[in-house]
Order: sequence, then structure tokens, then C-alpha cells
Amino acid sequence: MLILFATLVLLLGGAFASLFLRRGKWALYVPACALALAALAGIGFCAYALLQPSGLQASLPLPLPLGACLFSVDHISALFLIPVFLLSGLGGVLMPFRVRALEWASSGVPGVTVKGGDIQHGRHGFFYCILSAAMVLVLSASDAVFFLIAWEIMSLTPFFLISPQDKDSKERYAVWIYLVAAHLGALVLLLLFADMSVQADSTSFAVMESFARQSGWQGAGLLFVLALVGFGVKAGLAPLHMWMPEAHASAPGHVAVLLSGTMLNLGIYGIVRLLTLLAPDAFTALAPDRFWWSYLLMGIGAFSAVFGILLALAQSDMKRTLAYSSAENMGLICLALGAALLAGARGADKACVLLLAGAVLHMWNHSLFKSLLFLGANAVKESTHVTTIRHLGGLQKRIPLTGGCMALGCAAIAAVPPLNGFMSELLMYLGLAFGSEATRGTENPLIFWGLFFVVGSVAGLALFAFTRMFGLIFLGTPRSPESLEAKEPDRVLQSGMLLLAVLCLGVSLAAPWLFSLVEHSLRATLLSAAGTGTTDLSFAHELMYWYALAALVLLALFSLAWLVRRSASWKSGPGESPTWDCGYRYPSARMQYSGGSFSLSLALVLRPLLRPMLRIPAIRDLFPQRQHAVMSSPDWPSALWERLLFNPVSALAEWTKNLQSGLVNVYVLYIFIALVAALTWALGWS
Amino acid sequence: MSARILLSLFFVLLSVLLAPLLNGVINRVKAIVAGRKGRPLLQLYYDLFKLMHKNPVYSHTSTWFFRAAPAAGLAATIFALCILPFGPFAALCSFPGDFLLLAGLFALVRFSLILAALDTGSAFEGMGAAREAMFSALAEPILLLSLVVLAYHAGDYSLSNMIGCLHPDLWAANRPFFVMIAIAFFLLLLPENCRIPVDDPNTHLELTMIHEVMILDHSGPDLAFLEYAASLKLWIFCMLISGVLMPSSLTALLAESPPVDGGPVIAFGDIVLATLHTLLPVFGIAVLVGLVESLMARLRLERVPQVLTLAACFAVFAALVLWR
Repeated sequence: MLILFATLVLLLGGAFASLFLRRGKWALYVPACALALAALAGIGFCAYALLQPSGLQASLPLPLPLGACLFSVDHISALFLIPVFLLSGLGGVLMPFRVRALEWASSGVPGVTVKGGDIQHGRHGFFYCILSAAMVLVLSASDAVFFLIAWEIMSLTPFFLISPQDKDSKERYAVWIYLVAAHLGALVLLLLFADMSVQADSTSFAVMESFARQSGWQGAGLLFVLALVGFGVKAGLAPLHMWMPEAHASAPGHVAVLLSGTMLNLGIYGIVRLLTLLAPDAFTALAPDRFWWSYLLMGIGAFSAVFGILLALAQSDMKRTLAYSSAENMGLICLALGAALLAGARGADKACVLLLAGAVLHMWNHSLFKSLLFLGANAVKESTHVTTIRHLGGLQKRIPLTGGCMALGCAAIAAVPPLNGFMSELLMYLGLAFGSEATRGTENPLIFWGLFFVVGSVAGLALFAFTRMFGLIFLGTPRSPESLEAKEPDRVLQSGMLLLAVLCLGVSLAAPWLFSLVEHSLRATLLSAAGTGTTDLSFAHELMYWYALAALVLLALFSLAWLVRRSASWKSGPGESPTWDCGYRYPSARMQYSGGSFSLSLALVLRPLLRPMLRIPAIRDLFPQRQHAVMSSPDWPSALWERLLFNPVSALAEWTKNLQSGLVNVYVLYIFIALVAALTWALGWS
Repeated sequence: MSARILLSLFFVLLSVLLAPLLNGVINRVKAIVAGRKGRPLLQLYYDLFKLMHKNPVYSHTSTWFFRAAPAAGLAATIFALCILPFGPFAALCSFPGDFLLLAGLFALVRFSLILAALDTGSAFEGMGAAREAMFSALAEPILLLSLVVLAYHAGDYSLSNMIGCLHPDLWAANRPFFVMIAIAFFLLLLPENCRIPVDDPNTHLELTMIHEVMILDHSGPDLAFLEYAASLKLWIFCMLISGVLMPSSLTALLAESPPVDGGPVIAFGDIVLATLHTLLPVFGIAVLVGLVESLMARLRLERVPQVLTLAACFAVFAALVLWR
């Protein structure tokens, strides 16, 4: 535990050091070093914690008004801590260089910072470190009040990070939306934990767990729904995702890595943690009257996955595509959790282990490839100043390294074997298949097959969305002068992307060992009640080895085919010519397929789900003038929220302003009415 | 190396050799129905041979994606062939969960093909890529659902046991299920292999083309690889259907034989018989595809999703029949 405290001290030290240094490059280098060191120490700590048979506990004698400073790191926390440490370290190292690039970008000339475009270095470094520290605290807190404090710090700090330059009205809007959403979520969590601590008469998680075992919660279902809403907002599950596309699309690369790669995971962590608090043996023996919990989780997961990917494939902005696909991936994880609950309750132990392991591995993988993609998008934005797909193209020839890394990330997120995204979805598929087999004779196979179908269609649509994104941005011919002049980012960002790409590859090759690790730690925590050795998963290990081997076989076959091809076309070498465009002599970049045309036909086929808006002007005159056709795919779940909740609330708030008229006689009237009402109440009561 | 592995290897090679013949059969059927004499049965072999000796021409726009995609597609398709059982004979690599790898490998082929098409920067190929991505995105879950239902039926998760070891009695007991799965596979075969009601393999300049228009810019050995991979994919689908439709009495013999030598010896005559028993339906399906191509017009593009919906309905009903 000392190591954990040491990392926290490092992070806080880095934060305050950068606050005192205020300006200049050291205000960023110091926190960067602190973050990197903390990451190294933290990953070592996670490895140590995973090797321990049970969780590690500690407490600090800090005087909190309520609750206590209780730390506890069990295997679940450790599994979630790994990406936090990894990505905060990586983001921290990138931070000074990204901030510099942002400042240069606003002046337009490298090496020059203009007044107004500069970033307050001290502030930025401070909040970056604080955010990392808060995430570590959230994952290690074992007391409701302490957890909420850490959660609130973690929710607040991105407010200061998303728009470091604070000059774009769109970015300000994004930040504002983020703040509101984060607080609505936190409000729900406050209610949840308040009720729980009153019932259990303690704020400690350990006491709550034993309370759940002994007497059980009253209104556990309501508590579960509150947790799902509160943490679902943070995880960006689909109907609650309003803040995500705005915030993630606006944040600079190193911040988006933290927001998308790690903070979303904490929402999932919250759901898992609350499940263990509400029903300690949820994953092995869920009470039959609580089956709807699993249905709810599966439903929200499936909805989030499908809508996330559908909205992702219709976006015209690269970063928004990535942001919506986060909703998809979080949905898949949530779906796997729900299915694991059901499988565990039905005694399908194998399926439960596979689904949970799939969820954890997918969480890791998502952290890796989504960070990779956000960094790549950042590199594109830095060199071209645009992120609209329509204005990009042909970048692969100009920035091959970024392109290669992005291609790998896209293949991984589209679940193409043998990359890591496929490995984790494979576990989910297998878990669902086993679930259907183990529940033969009940109605559950239909549910598992339905989920199987959903996961399959999400994988297919993800392939569509990411071949579209990569193909249109990096391949073909440049569609604008900006993309013609794209340059590779600095060495640090390049090596950051390379590191993540290597990690993606490494995870896919090391999947068998990672699976064993995850399985081991799940058995020690979530599945401890099932007892060890009850289920034989040797086939799954064998399978994972086969799949890791498949990567090598594929590589061998590919090299063979490549050699055959080389020897065949060896004689006089390949020729070069323009792209053949069916006899038309002057193809131009504008004739290429664009983002809108790529997704149009699918958007039309899936019209009921996606609700695309098309406005194609009709030609009426003999000599039509220049006209514009508009196609957009509005985020209708968010629009629905706006119509049903936000607009009425803001209308009400707007209306209540009328009460403050500023006329003294009206205020006297208010006082009179209040007096009469109070008297009536008092007299009537007695 | 045990006899079993040698046998599997032999069947992989046999598939690799025979696959281009399917196109010849389909074209011959179409020619006969149309009253023509038709191309030689081995036309695709000649084409491939000719293309392998040509120099490729690359567009200025294209990058290494364009050059690597055909080889990657071919490698993935051949690998898919290695996990596919040949009739009652187990696949070369058979392990639990390999049916997911089959779907995954198709995704890999698609991923590389779409990127290669977009790499040329041509409007036509972009159009083809968008359509291919769309139809296969809709087809993938149906294929997965059919496969997982088959796995549920077999209680086993390797393709070799799912479709290779169907005992005739077992088959007869669940006849509607297998027929419906086979129909779903056949309806998937049409769009996945760009066959007529969905796509026309003969022309590439029509605006409704999908696969052919995607490979418009490929030439020489690259084109040969793509054509060859396409014929292998058709072979894989035909094998899937024949595996579902054709139970084999040889099953019992093979299922009980341990993976190492020393099991019951399989007679040479049995092997030949089983091979013919597998090859005949495969070519029968090719004839069926040829008949469909001759008798149907190509559907309008917006009606193609209806074909896929029909396939999904058959898969879902098969699942319901099995579950009841």
C-alpha cells in the first residue's frame, strides 16, 4: 500500500509543483516527470496487488467530516487501475509537447506563441495531475464519502482541461455540457450513497457488504437503478451519453486519452463495485427476483452498443466518430456484464467467467486502441487543423507512420482478427454461446442468441464505420490544401502512438496469458463464492493459444502469398499510371466518395434506427441555380432528452424569473401570501 | 505426422485445386440455360495463369495498402479453408471456437479489400467499397447466428464437429432445422459472393456493381489473387451448405477414431466414397447458383437488404425450431 501512497504523493507533488512554477516549460516538465514515475510505480503496484491472494487495505488518519479515509485495493480495483496508470503516464509525457503544439497552432507559426493563444501551464499541469490522482483515489477508495469526494474531484477537473485555450465557443459549450452532465450524475450518486449509508449505518464499503449479506438492502432495485444512472452517465452509455461527443471531440489529444481511455472505465467500475455492494454474490447467485437487473444491464448495453456505432458511422467529424464509438464499446462491456449476471444466476459458470473476462479484456483493449486513435486524430488535427472527413484524404502518403498506427487501431476497434479487439469480443461470443448451451430447456438461450446477434451486428457496423473513417481520411487523394500539406507530428507523439500500437499487438499475442490472469483475479473476487476449480476452462485456454497462433499462421501465409506475388511480378517491375476512372480523363479529388456518400445507403437502410435527415432541393426551374443538399444524422436520443427534460426545465427556470419583478409592492404581496399560507397551515394543523 | 493430418492436408490441397472449377460450372450452367456453348470449364484457371504472368500496374494515388490487400485476402481465405472440415473429415486445424475465426477471417478479407478500394481514390471503387461494407455488415450477424445455433445443436464449438459429424439419424430428427440453416447460408452466399440477385459478376461498369467494381484498379498477380480468393470463398460457402445438408454414415467411424494413429483403420474405398459424397453437393450448389443466375434478374440495390432479411428470418426460425 505504501507504493500506492507514494504514487499519490508523486502526483500531488507534481500538481502543486506545477502550480507554483506557474509558467514556463518546467511547469509542464515537472508534472510530466511526476506522472511518468507514478505510472511506473503504479503499474508495479498493480502487479503486486494482483499477485496477492486477497485485497490490500489501509487507512489514513485524515479528519473527514463524515466517513473515513479507507483505502482498499482488491483484484477488481487493480484490474481497473492498470489502464489508469498506463495512460496517465503516457498522457503526462505527451502533455508538454501537446501544449506547445497547441500554442504554436494558434499562432500559425511554429516556435511562436501569440498573446491570448497561450495556455496557463501551471494550471494545466496541476489539473492533469489532480485528475490522475483522483482516478486512482476513486479506484482505491473503500468508503462512501471518500469515494464521493474523489469522484467529484475527478468529475470537476476535466472542466479545466477540455478547453485549455478557452477561446472557441464550441469548446466552451462542450465544457459546459460536460459540467452539467457530470453533476447530474454525481447528484444521483449522492442520493444512492446517502441512502445506503443510512441503511447500513456506516459509510464503509466493507460494512455495507456485510450488511448486504446479513440483512439485505431495502429497495435494492431502486438503488441499482440509481447506480446505473449515476455511473452510466460517466461511462457514456447511450441514452446518457450527451456530454461525450462534445467533450471528447473538443479535448486535445493528451486529455482525450484520459477522458476516453480511462475515465469511461470508471463508470463501469462503479457499476461493478455497486453490484458487489448491493448483492455480494451477484455473479454467482443472483436472487430470482433480481433477474431484471441483468435484463436491464443487457438492454442498456445493447442499446448503447447499437446506437453508439450507428451514430459513429454517420458522423462527419473524425473525433466525434471516435467519441460515439466509445458509447458502443462501453455498451458491449455493459452487455457482457449483464449476460454474466444471468449466466451466473443460471449456473452457467463457464459462460459467466468467459463473459466477465471478455468485459475486462475489452475494457483494457478499448483503453489502448481508443487512446491510439485519439492520439492519431490529434496528430491529424495538429498538422491539418481540420478534423472533418470531407476535408481530409490521402494522408497516408504524407504521414505514413501516423497512418500505419491509425490503420492498426482501426483494425483493432473493428474487431478484425488477430488483433486485440477481436480477442476480447471472441471471449464475449464464446461466453454467450456457452450460456445458451448451459441453459438448455429454459427461455434463456433466446436471450443469449439475441445478444450474440447484437454483438455480431455491432462488429459488422464497426468495420463499416472504421474502414470509412480510415479509408476516407488516409487513403485516396487529398480533398483540401490542408491535407496536402500534412506533416508528421513530433517524435514524442510518434513514439506514443507506436507504443500504443505495439501494446495492441502485444495484447493480442499475449491474450492467453492475460486471460489466465483475469480469470484468476475474477475467481478471487467476483466469483469467490463459486469456489475454485468448479469449472474447467482448459478448453478456453487452449482456444486462446490457438487464436494467438492463428496470428502467426496468418502472417506466415501472408508472407508466402507476398513472395509468390513478388516472384510473379519480378520480371520488369510494376508500372505506374493514374487511377483508372472508367474512361473519364480528368478525375479530381472532389469526385471521390465522401463520408456522407459512404454512409448514405446504410443510413437509408437503417432509417428507423438512425433517423437521418435529408434535404435535397427539388429542381423546378429550367435553369436551376446553385443549390445545396444537406444530409445529417442528428443524435436523436440526445435530442429527445433535450425535448423531454432540458427544455421544460429551462423553460421553468426562465418562467420563475418573472417572480423577481423588482417591484416592492409585489414583494410585499409575496410576504403577505406566505404569511397567510403559514398561518393557515399552522392553525389548520393544530 | 499422423495419417489424419496428412488426410486433412490432402483435402485442403484438393479444395485449393478444385475451387476455381466452381466458377466454370456456374458459367457452363448459365450458358446451357441461355442456349450457348459457353466458356471452357477451366476458364478461370487459364485466366489466373495468364494474370500471374502479367506485370501489375499501380495508380499514383495508391499506397502499400493497395499492394498488400490481395495477398492478405488470399492468406486469410486459405486459412479459413484450413479450419473448414471436408465432409466427414476433420479440418486441418480444428479447435473449439473456430467457427468464430471463420467469421473473423471473412472480416479481415473485407477490411483489406475495402481499404484497397478506397486507396485508389476512385469514385467507382469508393461506391463498391461502401456497398460491400454495408451488405457484409448486415450479413455478418446472420452468419454468426446460424453458426452459433449449429454449435448449440452439436453441443460442440468446432466446425469439424458442428457440420462434419452429422449422423443421418440425428439429421433426420432435426430435418427442418438443417434445411432452414442451409437456406439461410444459401441466401448469404449470394451477396457474400456477389452472385446475381445482388451483384453481377460479369460486368463492372454498371453502377449497381459491388465486388467487381472494387477490384477495378487491380491488375496482374494482384487481380489473380483476388479472383482466386473470391472463388475460394465461394467454395467455403458451398462446403458449409453441403456440410449442413449432407449427413454422412462415415461419421461414426471418424468420430470415434482417436486423433493419433491406432484408431480403427478407414478403408480407402470409404475415403473415396466420402470425398465424392462431399464434392457432389458442392458442385450441385454451384449448379443451383447458376440456375438462380439464369432465371432471376438482378434486384434493385435498395431491395438487397430484403434478401438479407429473408436470410435472417430463416436463421431465426431455425433457432426457434431448435429451441422449442
